[in-house]
Amino acid sequence: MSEHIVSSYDQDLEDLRRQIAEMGGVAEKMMADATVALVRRDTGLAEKVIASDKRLDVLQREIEERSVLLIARRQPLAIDLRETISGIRVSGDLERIGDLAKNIAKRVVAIADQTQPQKIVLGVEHMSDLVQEQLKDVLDAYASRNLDAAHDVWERDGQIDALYNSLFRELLTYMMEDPRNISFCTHLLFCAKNVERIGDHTTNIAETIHYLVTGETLAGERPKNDASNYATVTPGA
Amino acid sequence: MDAQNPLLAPAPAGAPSLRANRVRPGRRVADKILITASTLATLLGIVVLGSILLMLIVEGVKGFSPLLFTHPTPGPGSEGGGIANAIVGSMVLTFLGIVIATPVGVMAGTFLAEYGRGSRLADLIRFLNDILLSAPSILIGLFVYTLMVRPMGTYSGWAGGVALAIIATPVIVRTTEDMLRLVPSQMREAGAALGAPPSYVIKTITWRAASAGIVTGIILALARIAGETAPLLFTALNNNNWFNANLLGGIPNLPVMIYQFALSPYGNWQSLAWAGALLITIAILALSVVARLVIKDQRAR
Amino acid sequence: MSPTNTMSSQLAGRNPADETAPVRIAVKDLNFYYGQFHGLKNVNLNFHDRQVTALIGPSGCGKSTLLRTFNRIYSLYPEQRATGQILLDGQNVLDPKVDLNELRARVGMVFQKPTPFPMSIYDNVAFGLRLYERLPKSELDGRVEDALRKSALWDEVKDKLKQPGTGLSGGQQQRLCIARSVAQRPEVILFDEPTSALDPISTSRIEELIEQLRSEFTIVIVTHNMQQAARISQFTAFMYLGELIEFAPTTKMFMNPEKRQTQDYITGRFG
Repeated sequence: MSEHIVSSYDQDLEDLRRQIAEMGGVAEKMMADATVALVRRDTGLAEKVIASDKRLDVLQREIEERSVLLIARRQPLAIDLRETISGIRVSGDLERIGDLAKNIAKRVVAIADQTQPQKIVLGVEHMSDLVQEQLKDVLDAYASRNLDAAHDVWERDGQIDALYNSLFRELLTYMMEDPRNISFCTHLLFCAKNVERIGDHTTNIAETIHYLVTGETLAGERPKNDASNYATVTPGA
Repeated sequence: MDAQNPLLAPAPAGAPSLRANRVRPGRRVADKILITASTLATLLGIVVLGSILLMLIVEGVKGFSPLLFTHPTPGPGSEGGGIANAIVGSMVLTFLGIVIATPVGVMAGTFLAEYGRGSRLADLIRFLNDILLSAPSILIGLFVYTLMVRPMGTYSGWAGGVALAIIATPVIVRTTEDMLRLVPSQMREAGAALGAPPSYVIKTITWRAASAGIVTGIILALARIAGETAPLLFTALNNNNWFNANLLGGIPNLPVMIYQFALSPYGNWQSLAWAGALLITIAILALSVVARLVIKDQRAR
Repeated sequence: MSPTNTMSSQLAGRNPADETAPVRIAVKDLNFYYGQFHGLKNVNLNFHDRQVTALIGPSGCGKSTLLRTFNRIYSLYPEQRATGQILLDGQNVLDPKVDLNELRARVGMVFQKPTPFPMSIYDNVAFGLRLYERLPKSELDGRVEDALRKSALWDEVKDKLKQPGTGLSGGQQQRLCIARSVAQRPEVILFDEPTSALDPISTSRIEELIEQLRSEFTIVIVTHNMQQAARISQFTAFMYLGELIEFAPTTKMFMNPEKRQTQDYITGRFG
């Protein structure tokens, strides 16, 4: 894309991109750390994740103010307008991702003193790894305006839903097997739900990329495989 | 970066100010010389003009009396008398001149500004008009002499009026064209865009928009011919009596009267010449003031 | 996955582009010359009935030239000529047999600088009416009032109709010029940068007026102000170096233009 006649306009948009990239980095790190903290019951790392959410909130407010100013000052049109709007949307998604990672970290603090078989956690870790990859891919796609990569993420999220569904059943089974697991498994269930939601936010970002590049919104139903809404496990079944 | 720029280099110690250093002394001297020279030239002009005017007023007021407006010019050697016949004669002649020149001048100016825009014919007419504008007026007197006085066999007010008209016309052509050109072309386009043909646009829009300027041009032409002497010498000549109603024969008029009386040996003639000169000057001044007022009125709108 | 266009008409605001509206002016293979200079190159374009079409583009791109062919106002200047067809309701405007004065009564025009004639407000508005119609005084009064009302000027001038039109403010003068056009009951009104000499408040008034006039007239407006085009038009045409680069509904044009040149121009990346 060639440059604007007004060079400070380019600078404004560049600043916006830089801050979104920074938010993306913080969010990715928070999620990775929260997962590691969960697997190792590392409260120190968890506290760090909780602390870094502040930075994410600050960045998101700044991006919002910057974008509003940019709209007021430059009345962006076409690609510039889409980029500004996309910036606001993506920063919102990233802020939510940060909140969800923070929530996982809080739960790590809550269940840190419980000793449960490690294999229960592995399912969540696996799911989180997939979502982290999605998050990384979607952020790269945003930076490079790569429509194909964004569509790929958008479609991949179906797997996460399916994974969450089976994890849901698995955790229910553990709880029924031994009531002492209930507290731990409930927290873990919420952690898994958070990871699944983070996946949803990556698809939101993918949709934003589609809008940014094509000027059209991605309508139609996203592949959803989350059947946990209807899942029940009957004792003794 | 500043250090590399000699203009912005810090002033050396002892310099009165940075500013003073940036102007070469030679330029200051040149500045003073120019100011002095132009002031002197202006003063010279004012002194010369002022003394002429002063003398005119002093001498003219001496010769002023109500008789001026009631009595005709006296014969040689007779006492008293006025210049009533010359005043009326001058008014008749300039009126004739302007009545002939106005339609011709305004129409020709309109052709140049509206219809003939950019055409070669218009360029030629404009060029000839400019020559006529600066042609020696005695020549125009001679021209009308051969054209009218000789064939008619007598000096006449008609010939005088035509001579003055020939002098006034190029002035009116020029101002009319200039004033019409000042009317923005968008005005003409706006008229045309409503479906009005060019003649209607000129009649209702451009003439009206330029009216004050055109009227001013006419008034200035009037002022110009009111004081003309040379063209009248060969055409209207002069007359020491009231003139004929058919304007044939010599017509008394102020400029030629002044010319003849000023050169005469009679004291009362000379003072009448002064009074006449003052009268013409006042009249021309008044016309110029009116012209200015008209223009000002236009600007205010 | 089925992407849909966000610029569907329901989303395009209260004045969506109506692509099904009948074509009022059809420009076909229009070429324009200023002496030797080729000012418009093979322009093909349709203007829809009762829609506002904005012509945008950098200075000298031919947008004003295009506008000035619709009422053949260019014919005031002998060195300018046009070839091709401009069909106004099917009739070729460029046909030499067309009566220019009648054409100009059907296609009104408002200029960049307000051009009130040196006469009273009333006479300004009645100017076009008196040209070819002999209306009784009462009907003339009615037409003048009607035109001034439609131009949102009536309340401001109803007590001073006899005063000179040049005494009004710039914005009022421009509305007077619009009233002058409207009084002739044209089918099309052409606006050549009507607000570029006005302050923002007067500009808003003119924009509001154009929006209202749209219910009765087909409007073509040349503007340098991109936001203005985005605000008031239903269709936008982008021109560059005498060529039509892109023509589309305004919302599409300003959110997601097809052509790279259009995008560069409207986002300020030109040159």
